Amino acid sequence: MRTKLLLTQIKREFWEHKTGFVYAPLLVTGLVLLILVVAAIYSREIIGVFGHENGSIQFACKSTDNCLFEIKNSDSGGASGVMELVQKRDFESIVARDPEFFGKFVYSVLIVNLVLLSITYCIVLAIYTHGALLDDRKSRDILFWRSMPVSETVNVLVKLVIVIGLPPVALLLSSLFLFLCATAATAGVLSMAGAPVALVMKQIFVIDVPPPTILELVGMGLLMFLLLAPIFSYFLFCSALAKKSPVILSSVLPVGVWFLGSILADIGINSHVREVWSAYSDALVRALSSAKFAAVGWQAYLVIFAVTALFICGAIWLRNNRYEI
Amino acid sequence: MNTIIQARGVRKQFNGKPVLDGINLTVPSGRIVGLIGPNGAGKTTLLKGILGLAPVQGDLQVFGLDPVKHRVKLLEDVAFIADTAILPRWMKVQQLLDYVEGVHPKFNRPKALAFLQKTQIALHSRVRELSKGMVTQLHLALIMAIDSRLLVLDEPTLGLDIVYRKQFYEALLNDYYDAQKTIVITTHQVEEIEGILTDLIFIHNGKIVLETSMDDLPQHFMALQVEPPQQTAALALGPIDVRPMLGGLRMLFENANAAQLQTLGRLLQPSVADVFVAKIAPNLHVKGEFYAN
Repeated sequence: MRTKLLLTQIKREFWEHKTGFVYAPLLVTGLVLLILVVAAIYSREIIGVFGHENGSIQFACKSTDNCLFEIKNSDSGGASGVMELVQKRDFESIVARDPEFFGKFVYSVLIVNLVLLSITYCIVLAIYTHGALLDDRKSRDILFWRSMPVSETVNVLVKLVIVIGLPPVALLLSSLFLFLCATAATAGVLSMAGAPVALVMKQIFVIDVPPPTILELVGMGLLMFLLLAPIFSYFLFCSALAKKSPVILSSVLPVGVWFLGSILADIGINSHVREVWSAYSDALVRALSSAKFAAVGWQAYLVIFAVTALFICGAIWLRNNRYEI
Repeated sequence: MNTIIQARGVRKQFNGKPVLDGINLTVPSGRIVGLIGPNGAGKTTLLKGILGLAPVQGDLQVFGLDPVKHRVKLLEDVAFIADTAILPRWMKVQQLLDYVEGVHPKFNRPKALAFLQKTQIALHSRVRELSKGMVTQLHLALIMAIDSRLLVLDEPTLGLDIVYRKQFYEALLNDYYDAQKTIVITTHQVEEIEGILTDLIFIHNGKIVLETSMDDLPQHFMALQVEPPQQTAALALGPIDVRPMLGGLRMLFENANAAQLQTLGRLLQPSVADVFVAKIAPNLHVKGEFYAN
């Protein structure tokens, strides 16, 4: 029953925030797919610019010499003739010049996707966490939610699970999809040009510096949102605390602390505000640039866990005690 | 008979003003209790206390438990309908069924579906697409499919037309209520629930001014239509409410001697609305003259 309740609560979040949680990442994935297609079309090496030249469609080049292959009308007299695929350069020549080319192409798609999706989720989750514990208080819906046997602890924790767990899962699904698309596109185009499929597939995985695997990419996503958990849990706390605008509340407090730290610094008192922020942002950058959990010491994780727990406990307490319906 | 709700000296203040002022109350199981009071009387605050939605001072127990501390456990046995506007408008009917099924251990989905089949409500509709009456039907379908022991209704038919109001209470009696279940209803439309109540509680200014069973009501309250020659004698018996009527006065008596009253005029059984008005806003002035003794 407990698992069923948690899954139902997670489903509720998805129903309620479908645009942010489902449509926004789908849009980003679609955008990356579009970038992939455009990149493939404009790539001199693989496909190139479509164009007509002497009755043939130049399929893979900006200049005829660079074309990997072209599609020609076998019946040169008319447009309705049978199309014929003519290889202009062989696959091996590209591989010989840059053995990592195809692998880099596929993985660069995944990296672009990771970056765009992470930015998207940062925005989506910032909006979500600011409203998650305020919106229901502002409508009479809360009487319905509160008439169900679901505790505020479950309610708040599910929102935290969404914050930490949703981006990696979405990254996994989106990366898998784009990996398949990029691989299929590369393999399809090259095999059309006469390259053996097995060789193409093999070539996609040839990279001297091993690229991050899909699981590593997802790990990066998880690491990133784990490290951002204190910020999102702070937003959740502000959402539970605010009477009107959690955005103002969540902005005013850090700015105030920063100014206070500066004033204290001016009069010779070190409040360590800047050091704490610098240490946190350094840890964030270090962990993300190395994409390794070990890049940040366990003490940092302990602090991150403690700060997150503090804000989450505060949000639960507020939901249980401060506001009456 | 088990006690479902027990309140002893329950108090609540808002900005220093008492909203609940020493409420004492006992609701046994298997009863349909009407909690009646004017606006601001404290009905909804008391219900929120019973549901654990707002803390109150004093001793308030539901199923022997503190409603605030054990809200989640209690809500497995307590169902609640406020006025019709509380179902999330963005949700689809199907999602509502899925949600309640997922979080409520005592929800019976086939029962809810069977009830919905008797209505015009489509499963793919969103709540915001339904009329107010349909939203009430939907909420009722959800609540009736929960095997709860206490149902709390706070102005459940507010804003509904007479057809939906009638259907609501019929469904409640036919499809939900049995001897094991207890219902607490607050409403302004006293006449509509008069026929289904077993007990009556009047609340005014945070205090309970009447707590009686419907069976005992006729013994406690009597209305008397008095013509001018008997008016002085009747007024001497201390009516709690006096109102002019065509050709005389209509007086309402509490705990009076029926035989004595009968000699002074025509004795009638007052409605709950009459008793309510007499207890909450008694009128003892007629044509500028004050009749109370």
